[in-house]
Amino acid sequence: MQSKRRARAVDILLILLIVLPLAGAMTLKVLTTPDAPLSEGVQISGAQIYFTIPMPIQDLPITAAQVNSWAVILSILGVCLYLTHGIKVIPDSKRQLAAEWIVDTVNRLVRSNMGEKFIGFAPFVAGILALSALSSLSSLLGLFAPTSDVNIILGWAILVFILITHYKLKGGLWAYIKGFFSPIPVFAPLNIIGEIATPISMSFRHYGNVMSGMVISTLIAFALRSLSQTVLGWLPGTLGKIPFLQVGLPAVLSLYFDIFSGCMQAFIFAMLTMMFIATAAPEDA
Amino acid sequence: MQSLDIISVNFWQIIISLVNLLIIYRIMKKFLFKPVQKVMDTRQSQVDRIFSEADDSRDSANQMKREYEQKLAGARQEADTMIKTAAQTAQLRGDQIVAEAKEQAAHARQKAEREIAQQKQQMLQDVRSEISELAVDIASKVVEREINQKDYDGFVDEFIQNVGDPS
Repeated sequence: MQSKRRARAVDILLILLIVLPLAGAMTLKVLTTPDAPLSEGVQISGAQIYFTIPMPIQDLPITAAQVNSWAVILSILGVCLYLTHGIKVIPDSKRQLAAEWIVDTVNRLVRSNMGEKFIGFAPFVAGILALSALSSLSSLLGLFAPTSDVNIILGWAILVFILITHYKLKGGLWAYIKGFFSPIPVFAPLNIIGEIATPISMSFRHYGNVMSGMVISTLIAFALRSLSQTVLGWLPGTLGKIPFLQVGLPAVLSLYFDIFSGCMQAFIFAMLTMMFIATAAPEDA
Repeated sequence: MQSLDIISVNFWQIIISLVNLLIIYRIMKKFLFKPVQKVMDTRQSQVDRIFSEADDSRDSANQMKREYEQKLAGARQEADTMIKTAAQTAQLRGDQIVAEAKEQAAHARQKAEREIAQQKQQMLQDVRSEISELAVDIASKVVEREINQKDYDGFVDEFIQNVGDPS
């Protein structure tokens, strides 16, 4: 009885750990967003800067993207702890089944795409999937999606690039260098560009998708608001100020840009990571 | 409140994001994959053990069954042989008894026949001596003289022999 009550208390704490970071990020955004007057027109910009820390090479601005990604990380930590809390050999809770389903699915995905020897990458792939998808989906809460900041994705892509290079170097430094001069030495510049293009294309694909979705949503919302004001502006009092036409279409667009595109890009990023790393590794290693 | 430009690259932000991904990897590994994998492995080993135990007990049960069947077959054979030997013994014994009985019967008959023959002989003897005496008496009466008994015996005997011989 005592242990049951304690387990329940821990559960509540873990749910708070899932919810609170996101709620905090939302609060921070609400408190710091200035009221944009309608007359100024639409403005599309990157993440808000909360404050700036002076650093040696470049000043570090702490932006909404950073804060939101930390909030997402804390939430994921909470989800992991919640799912594995009270885990038993013979499962008796739905959340354990969910946790096992997640682990099993990712394991199978990694096994089928990379092979058995790369099974250690399963948590990494799961991390990419969770972080990317949940970051994109955080825009549903009205947050600035961290994945629409190029710095965030570029950081992930560079980490993936480091892993790719690490596995290529496992085949020997000489083989790695020789790889740039194949099939004939003239291709060397192209090969080098192609190598560097990998992280850039990966990051820009993901970032560009989420960002463009946000831009289009903002533009359409603004256009609908203007249209609503023009068409229904004659209505008396505050009734004329309510943008009725904004109901409907943005929700459908959000379904595509926020949910579908976000999950899709997370999956693509994870798949590309697996493919690149698996092909980079020498066959016999 | 200031905002970033829509595309702005910042070295430290990239580093922080890179580290973030490493952190989420650690979180996933430590708090999701490791405990779940451990539990699944434990369950797998338990299931394997249960299966192997079931296999073992099935094997031993089968072996016991085979043994019992063998024993049963042996017992049946033994019973068969026992019955057969018993029947044989009984047959032998019965035959023996019958043979003995027959022998005894034959014996008894022989004895009886011998006794009968003896008595008959005896009786014939008696009758013969009686007759000879009678004949002597009659003859002595008839001739009224003393016949020498001794001379006469031979004659009478011869006579009776011829008379009593049924052939």
